[in-house]
Amino acid sequence: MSTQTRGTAAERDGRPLLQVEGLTVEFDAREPGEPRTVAVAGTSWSLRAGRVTALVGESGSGKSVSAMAVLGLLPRTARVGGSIVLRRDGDGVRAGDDVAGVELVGAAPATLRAVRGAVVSLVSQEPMGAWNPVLTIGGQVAEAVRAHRRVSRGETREQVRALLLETGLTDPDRIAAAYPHQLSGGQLQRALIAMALAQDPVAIVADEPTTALDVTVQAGILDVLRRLRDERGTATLLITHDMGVVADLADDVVVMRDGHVVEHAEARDLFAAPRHDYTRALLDAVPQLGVTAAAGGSAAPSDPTQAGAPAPGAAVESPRGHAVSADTAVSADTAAADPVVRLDDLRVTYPGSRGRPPVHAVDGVSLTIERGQVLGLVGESGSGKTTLGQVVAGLLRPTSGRVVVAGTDLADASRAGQRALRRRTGVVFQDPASTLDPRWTVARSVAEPLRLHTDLSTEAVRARVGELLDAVHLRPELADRYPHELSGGQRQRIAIARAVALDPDVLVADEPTSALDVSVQARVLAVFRELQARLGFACLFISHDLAVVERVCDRVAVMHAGRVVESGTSAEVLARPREAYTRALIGAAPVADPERQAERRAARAAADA
Amino acid sequence: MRTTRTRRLLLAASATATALVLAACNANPTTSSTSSAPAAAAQQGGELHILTSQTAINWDPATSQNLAITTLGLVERRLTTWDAQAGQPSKVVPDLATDTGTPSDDGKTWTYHLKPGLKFEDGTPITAKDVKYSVERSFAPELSGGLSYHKSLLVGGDSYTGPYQGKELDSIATPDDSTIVFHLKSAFGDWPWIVSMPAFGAVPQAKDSVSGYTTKPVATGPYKVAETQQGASVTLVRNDQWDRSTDAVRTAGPDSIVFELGQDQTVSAKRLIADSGADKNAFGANFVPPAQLAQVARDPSAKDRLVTSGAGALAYLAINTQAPGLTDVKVRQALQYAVDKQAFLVASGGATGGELASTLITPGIAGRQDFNLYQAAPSGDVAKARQLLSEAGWKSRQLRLLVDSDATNPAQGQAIQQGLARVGLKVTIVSQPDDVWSQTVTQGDGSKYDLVLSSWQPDFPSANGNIQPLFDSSQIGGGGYNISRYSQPEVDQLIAQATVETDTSKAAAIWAQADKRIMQDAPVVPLIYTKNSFLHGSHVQNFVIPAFPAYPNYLKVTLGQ
Amino acid sequence: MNARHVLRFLTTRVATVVLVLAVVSFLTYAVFVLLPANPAAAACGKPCTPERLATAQAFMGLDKGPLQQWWDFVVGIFTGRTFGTGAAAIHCPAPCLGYSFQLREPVTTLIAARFPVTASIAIGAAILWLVIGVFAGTVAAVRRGTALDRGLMVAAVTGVSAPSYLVGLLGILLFGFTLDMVPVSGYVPFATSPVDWAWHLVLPWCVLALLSAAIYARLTRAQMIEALGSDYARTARAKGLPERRVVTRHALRNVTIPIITLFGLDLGVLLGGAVITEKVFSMPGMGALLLDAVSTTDLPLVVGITVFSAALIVVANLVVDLVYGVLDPRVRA
Repeated sequence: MSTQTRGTAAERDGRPLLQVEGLTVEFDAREPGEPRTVAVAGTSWSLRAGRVTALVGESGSGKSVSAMAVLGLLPRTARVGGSIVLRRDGDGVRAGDDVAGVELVGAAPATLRAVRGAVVSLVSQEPMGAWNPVLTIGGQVAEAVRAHRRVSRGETREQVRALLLETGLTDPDRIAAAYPHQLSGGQLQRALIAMALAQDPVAIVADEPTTALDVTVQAGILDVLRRLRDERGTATLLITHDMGVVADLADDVVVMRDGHVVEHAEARDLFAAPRHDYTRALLDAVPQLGVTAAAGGSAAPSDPTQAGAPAPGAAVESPRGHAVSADTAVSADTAAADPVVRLDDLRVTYPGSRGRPPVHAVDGVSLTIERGQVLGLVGESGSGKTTLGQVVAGLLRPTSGRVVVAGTDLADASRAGQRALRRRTGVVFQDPASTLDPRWTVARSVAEPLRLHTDLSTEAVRARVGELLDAVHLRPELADRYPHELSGGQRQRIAIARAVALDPDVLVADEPTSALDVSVQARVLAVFRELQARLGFACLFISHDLAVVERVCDRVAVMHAGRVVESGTSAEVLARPREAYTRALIGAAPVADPERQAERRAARAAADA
Repeated sequence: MRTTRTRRLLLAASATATALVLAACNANPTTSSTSSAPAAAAQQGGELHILTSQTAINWDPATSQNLAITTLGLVERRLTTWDAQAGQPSKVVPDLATDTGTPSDDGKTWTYHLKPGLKFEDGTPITAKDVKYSVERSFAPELSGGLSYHKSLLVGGDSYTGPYQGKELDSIATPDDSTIVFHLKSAFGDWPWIVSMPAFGAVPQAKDSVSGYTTKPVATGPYKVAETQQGASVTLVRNDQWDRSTDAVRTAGPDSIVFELGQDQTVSAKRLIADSGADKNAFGANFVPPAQLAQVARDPSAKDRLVTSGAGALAYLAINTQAPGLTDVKVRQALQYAVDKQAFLVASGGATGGELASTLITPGIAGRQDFNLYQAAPSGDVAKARQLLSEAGWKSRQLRLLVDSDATNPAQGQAIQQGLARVGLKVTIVSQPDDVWSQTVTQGDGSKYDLVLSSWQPDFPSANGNIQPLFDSSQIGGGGYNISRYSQPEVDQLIAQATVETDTSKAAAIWAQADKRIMQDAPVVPLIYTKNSFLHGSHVQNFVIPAFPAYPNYLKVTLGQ
Repeated sequence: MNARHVLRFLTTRVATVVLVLAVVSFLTYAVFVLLPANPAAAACGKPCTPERLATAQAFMGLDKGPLQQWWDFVVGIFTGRTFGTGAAAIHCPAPCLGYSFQLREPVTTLIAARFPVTASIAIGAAILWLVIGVFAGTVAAVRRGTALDRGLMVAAVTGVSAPSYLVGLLGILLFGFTLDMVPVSGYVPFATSPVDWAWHLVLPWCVLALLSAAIYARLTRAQMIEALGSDYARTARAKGLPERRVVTRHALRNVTIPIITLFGLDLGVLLGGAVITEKVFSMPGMGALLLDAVSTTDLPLVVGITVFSAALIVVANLVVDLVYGVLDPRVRA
């Protein structure tokens, strides 16, 4: 397996490996007569060997479409214009061109096929979906090895092994023999990178390669990509919405918005001195661990999608510091008196299927949440945090242990008692689209708990819905809209409005902002904090994002393998973690600052060594 | 299933005295009872194919209701058989026996002698004991389902349960190997016809099998069963133990005969019209479906190979003589005039479908007298009907006309309905599937219907077969076919008198008298005598449909070149 | 899956099979009890007196209550049955699915004689329609939106809605009579002559396949379009694989899974008798036997065939589940 630095020639003459000029992508209208959708409106950027170029933007910015245009993998309905020239450097491209590069826009299928895999490879977002579920990992990697050349069976097997090893998979034989469903997301993503490397391409397109992964796993994947750049000189086109990932890995950054490039700069410069307002707003919207936008949470964070000008409050960057905030202090006072939620040695065990041992999803957790307090529950996927949330919300019966919510013991409660308890508990889930009935208007969805649990008149319900929409900063005319007519952030705010409609004692929020773009997330979090301060409900806030937790939570509990490994005030736990696991979790989360991220990386490497 | 009744007839029974409702509905004007000259020389050789929709052939004489001149007749001989030829009434003739029977004791005892030299297919001689055993086994409950006329005629028959428990039927005596004597409870003039039925063949006790005989019979006729493919085909080959000199009715032309079973009737007819390859040596055992009849009419070559019978089974409208209002003979007579027979004939396929009927005894039966007590135009006499109804003081009520949906086409029921509507009789058609229909009319108490559309072909070509099952008061309910529920002591008397008469011409006269007497009471309206049409391949010769029954005579068919 | 789990899986399934068959057979009996037609009438003889009808009923066991009749049937499957007594007793050896008094054969024997015919028709046709349907569906999916795709789908809609009796008859007319290419009817056992066997079956296969292939084409097309738009198909393309290989190796493998499920069940149903096809082509299969049994009120035969057909469907279900495990590694736990 060759590991020579291939980017050198290209770097020497300074010419980019991939030059994109005036790229446009439009999609045919679904119905005749409707206008075409413009996804990319004439962008120009380049990709250089040995460097990671990040295409950054929020959903709908055209970043993924641009990347797929490079590989010629857009759907048939796409109309691509402009130019994408791939530099020839002696190998890979077999097309009969005699100029300096191969034009990929409008290229013949054979040319594109020759480029794909051999010259430019793809690492895509969802590791489970990217693999064919019915074929082994080894078989699929081997297919890539042999896609463009004849390789003997034995040699193929050896190459597959070597590739898997190179991406940090220590038992390549087992991995090769496994089917996708038998592996974790991290393993799949490493194997996917291995497959992308199979034909020793000069460039890799990595489309949100870590979005679906836990932070600790993400760190490993980013390390692999970094190593490829450094050791192989592979050019990487990184598509991401996560400024932390950009700060961690990118050399060059292309910021996209609504199909346009708003800024194209070296990463260091961009983070240090963003020239464009949108870039600045985007960076400001990123919640950062140890750095919070506003201490009191009263300021509405900037919405970079609104205007070029920075929104009020966005410029204020005061560290929240490690001091206990006013809110927390208040709740601490009332703490001992009357915890709204009390869990005692809670256990949830799922029976093992087909002879496997039982799964202890929650394995002896005890915790309390005081009135007006927000408890952040953090942990990686599979740690049991969602299960715990369901128990508190009354959606799941624990196997053993005591659950007392608002003074009622769940185990003792009658059917009616449980029902009464349910009206005092609000729930917000990650995906608002799936929790709102698509055939119901916003008003009907928000009014549903009111009609179920109260005797309010129709007028009173209508008035209350108006108040609730106002409370989540939504215009009253949205009441008659349907969910598909709203944006993701608006939908989530409606879900919050519905959850607090009955003025609950407890709110369980399970990853309420994970599916949202950063700017939207900032706005939703602000709404949440404001509501919480006003209504004073206790909240179990479940998230994998430590920065978000730091921003909204008074206390934090860290879950790992069904247990709470550490808990305390947000300031204590996130700034001075006692447990190694908590430290690893904090260390792995990238911050949107290349300098600091490099330091953190170095510290982490030192710790590992 | 439009063909259920038809197929079942050919399958197990082949034209039994069952209610065959107008099975042939066709529109071909050709009417000839044979396509080749009957005098054509009986050619030998070739393989004859018989295409049939039936899916199995039951060779067991105890359970079969087969006609003497079709399938079973090729393999199994009986004491007597039928000489059935075109254009003349069918005659009973000796088969295994030397004559058609000698009556004594005023017709209560019948004696038969076997022809000398008769052998089973394995070469063993046929004795009177084999005949007796064959009759005895038909009494076993294990082997019920065949023609059973003899069971209530033989002394001790009602309580006898077959030979399998080691008991014999004492009313059958075999004083020697070639003589067999039957003792009847009362005189029965048509006994020679009874012994032409399948059970009066010969079954060697040593080769008997309750379940196996149905597929592996021991042949006494010119052919034996060589191969059976379940549901697909049965192949007959020559039985070299059969002696042509002992058999006056079987020509035994083909060297082998293949029954192709389970054939779709439409496809069969199309094959015979196409007349290619082996189908040149084939004929169809089923009636030609109406669509193919129309096709044949346009095809001169096929037209020559279509054979339509003469007047056959009687289609009639039975009037429930026990139903309210219909007890009045004037009302029933009014119905005779009210019915539009012409419309019914058109609905039945016109001239190829049949001809108008006025008597109960069907053409082709010896001694039949043609008469019409209710002279009217073919479409009826509305004025007369109205007059009779008003004389009877008929109070309008809805009449229920019961039809067998498997055997009748809707137009036939409507023809009756519309005819009666002309005189103000309101008719509701009640349609039932075949098996339910027969249950209603033969097993019930008669309260479910006022009128029934039915059809009848006797099991043996005697007027007895026309009259007794339909009009004897003993045949009301309990499985009997007196579906008019007609009870007339005078008629019962005549039937009894004719039944015991051993002089056939005297008997015929009494039957004709009964025919007229019954028609005076008008328990049924004779509609038409139905005709059946069959197709055969171009090499098939001597394809004859006799005056009775309206089916091809398998025993005479030969193959030319 | 280890041996213990296989055993538990099979035990559960067999229990289900037994339950299903018990219910099916009981319902069949119940239906016949409710019908006004008397199954003994055909065995009564001519003329049929009430005494003889009673005798026939008693011999056939129809004088007992329906529950008892059903129980006798169930017991007979395991122990065999004997009708009548003495020298004339008819024995129906286990597994006895009843005895047809009209055909004078145990139902099991009749099914054994007819099943090869139906199996010949069903399996040949099934293979044909699977190949044609999947091929046409794949082609339509790959060329979706083109005239070829539209043409294939119009043909599929026509195929789905065409009555099989009519198609069969038209097939016979065109290929049998007009073109004289194939025999118009009849069945030749494989053992007699494999060539004639196939020759006689070509037309029934084509007619049956034509109708079902339409359904499979539509299903395949829908599944294939989804598969070709999936992430893994994009990954395969990104590797530089030719589209043909993306279709055959990646998409088709996944599309096969739902297709096989449907296929197994369809084949199971068809093995119970291709009633109309058998009738049109004069094939002595199970469907023809059942049709005949129903029209002659041959109760034991109807029950026997119904139970056998139900068993086939249940077994087909089981096989589908097992094959599913082979095809889809995700359900192999």
